[in-house]
Amino acid sequence: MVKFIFAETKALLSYHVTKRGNIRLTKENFELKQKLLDSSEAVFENERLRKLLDFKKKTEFVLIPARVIAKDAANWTKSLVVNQGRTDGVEIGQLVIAPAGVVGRIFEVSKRSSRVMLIIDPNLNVASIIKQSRQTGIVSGSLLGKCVMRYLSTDSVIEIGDTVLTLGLDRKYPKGIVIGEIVSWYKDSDGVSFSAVLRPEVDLSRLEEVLIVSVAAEK
Amino acid sequence: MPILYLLLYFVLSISLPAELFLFNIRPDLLLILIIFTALFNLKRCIYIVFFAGLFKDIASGSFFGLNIFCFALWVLIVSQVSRNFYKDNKYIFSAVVAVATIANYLIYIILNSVFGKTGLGEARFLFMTILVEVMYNVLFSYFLFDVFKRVVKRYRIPQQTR
Repeated sequence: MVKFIFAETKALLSYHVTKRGNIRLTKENFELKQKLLDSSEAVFENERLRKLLDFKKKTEFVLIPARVIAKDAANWTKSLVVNQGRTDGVEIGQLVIAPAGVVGRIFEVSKRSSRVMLIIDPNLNVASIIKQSRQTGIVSGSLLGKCVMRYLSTDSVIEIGDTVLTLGLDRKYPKGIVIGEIVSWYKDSDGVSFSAVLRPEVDLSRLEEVLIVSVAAEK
Repeated sequence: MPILYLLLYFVLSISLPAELFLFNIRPDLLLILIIFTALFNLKRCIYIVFFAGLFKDIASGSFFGLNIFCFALWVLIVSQVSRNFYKDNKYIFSAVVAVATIANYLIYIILNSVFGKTGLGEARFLFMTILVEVMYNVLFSYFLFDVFKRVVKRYRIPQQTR
């Protein structure tokens, strides 16, 4: 009984000390959680940057790494803004890629930033080739998160799951970079060609860092 | 306080991730807002329209000034037309938003073909995009109507005299 009263009295007397300790520990806990979050974010970033670096080492092009700083607010165009501009050697028309494949093309350049038209924008046209059947066509966006490969001849052999690559007919689009995978195909209303719907290889919704292919300084 | 709400609304409308929505098409919250301001002919609505258009122009990759132009046009038309119908009806508000959404796309299609970007893609995808955006805008306008009305009532935002 005495022991109980002694313990309770001690607890009552040390109430303020315990309360202060509790506040301090809660704050410390919050700070530690924040640090943990920051470090796990740094791990993810490190992983992404390592992938970019590996790709940069493997590829034969001179690449400018850039960070995505903004995305388009309208539905009728699909673009994003990167933090590299004219002063970093970026020019209009340069191809933008990620380790997985094509992201888009630079269409506006300012001093310190550039705007990239994404591969899912219908204004972007890329000469392309189906890896397996070697059929050529033009890939453009559909605004709905997919791309369409148009002007495929009616005798084309199109299989779902085929990979579509850039054709590289001009120096602005290097050959053999993955654009996407065919998910469906249909005969055009004019009846003289086929179109194939592609799923872009790059997950454009999660893009944080990209590489701009520098045309002027090809190795 | 209404200015703070307005700024928050502007930021939310341009930073809303498209990935949250079906087909990566997001509702045009700014268009819904400016149709409301035009329908009820709110005082200083032209400033709201200008800054809403400017915000959207800055944050989008299409022709600069297009959104300012379109928004100003809808305000002009809607504020004139709104004299002839009962505007306290959610369905009418949603219908006006739907018409403005379609008309917005038509203006973009015309400008895109005149000022020479390469193309608009396949008509069926464009149709699908418009359809999805109209559906989202109608849905959001239906729910936002009461919110806007409450804000106007609470802060006693006056209407313009004709």
